[in-house]
Amino acid sequence: MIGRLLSSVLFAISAVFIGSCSSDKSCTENMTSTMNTGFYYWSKLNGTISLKDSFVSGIIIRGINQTDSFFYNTGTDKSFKKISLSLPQLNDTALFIVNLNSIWMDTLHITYKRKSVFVNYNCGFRSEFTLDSAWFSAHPKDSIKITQRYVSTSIQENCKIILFRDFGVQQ
Amino acid sequence: MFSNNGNAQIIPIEKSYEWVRGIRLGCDISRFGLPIIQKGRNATEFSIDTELKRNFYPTFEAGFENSTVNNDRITYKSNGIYGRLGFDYNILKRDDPTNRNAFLVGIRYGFSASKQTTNWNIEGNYWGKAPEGSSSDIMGTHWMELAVGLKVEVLQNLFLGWSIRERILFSSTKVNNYSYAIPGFGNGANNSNLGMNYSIYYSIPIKKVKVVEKIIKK
Repeated sequence: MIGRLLSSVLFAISAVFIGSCSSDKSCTENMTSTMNTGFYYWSKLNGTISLKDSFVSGIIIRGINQTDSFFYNTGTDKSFKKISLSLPQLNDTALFIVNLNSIWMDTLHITYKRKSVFVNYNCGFRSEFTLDSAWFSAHPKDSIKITQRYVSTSIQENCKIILFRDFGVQQ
Repeated sequence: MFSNNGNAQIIPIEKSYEWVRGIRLGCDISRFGLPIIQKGRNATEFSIDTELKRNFYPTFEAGFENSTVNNDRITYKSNGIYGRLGFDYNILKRDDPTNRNAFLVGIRYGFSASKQTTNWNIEGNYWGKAPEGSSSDIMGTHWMELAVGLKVEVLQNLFLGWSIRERILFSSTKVNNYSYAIPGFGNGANNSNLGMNYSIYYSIPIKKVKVVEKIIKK
């Protein structure tokens, strides 16, 4: 008798549960992996050399062979401590023309490996990258340093661009 | 036999009864509700068991499952078959020995073979599109299953029953973490899944078994 009662109750609960389920098909995840890059400069103060944050305005960045569109064109009224760059998904090399306030103009080379990473069944897959190397054409090799090779949707900094002086205005 | 310890008489009584041994065939009707909970999933499951000894039920369950996810980012298909072999044991004390209701605890070894096919498109960025990706794998999976549930004889030889299952992965030939639906096991990204069955059974009577019990009555 108790068994029959329990069985009936459970059947009713199951029916309510089934009826209340819905499948939401929208993707709420961030699907774009970006290489987070911060600006720094070497500060000499009282004989001590240390790496300090730099805030840069007038940033213009364009991908090579992407003539029609700028990646960044910030204007000069606002300064930035960091930028986020997305990487080509069909190649293993990215080339950016970087113009920082018309003082630092150079081509940034980045080499990397890409892989497809499953997120979930609403969002599908996204590209994530492992950085191999980064350098500027004209500036010294140590003017860019990779600090975190794995590029995903994390906000963690991947690269430091180390400027020869602080030419930004801190805001 | 007769004994007397001075305070009480102990009288052994022989009581006999008959219970019906049958082969019980079942169909998990909760599988038919699966497409409502998860669109694109379809499954059918059957079972066979028998009360080989009193309260001891060797059980075999088998089924097939097809799952599809299709949107503009991903197309996934899983087709496969599965089986589970084990036994249930009734822990319900029956006042009436001919009563066939049971509260069961059980254990199963589960296995499945499935084909998992995935095609995907990655969202483009500033630089344009990404290459399309695809994978196709034959997957074998083995797991252990702990079960607890009820079976109730609602009409003569007709039973309804439910069970809650904890499925613990032993091994899988999975090569990725997007095996959304392993037939019989559930989400392949997890090492354990909780499941539930709600089944209807018909017991085909095979043989009447006579049991003689000795009851010692004080």
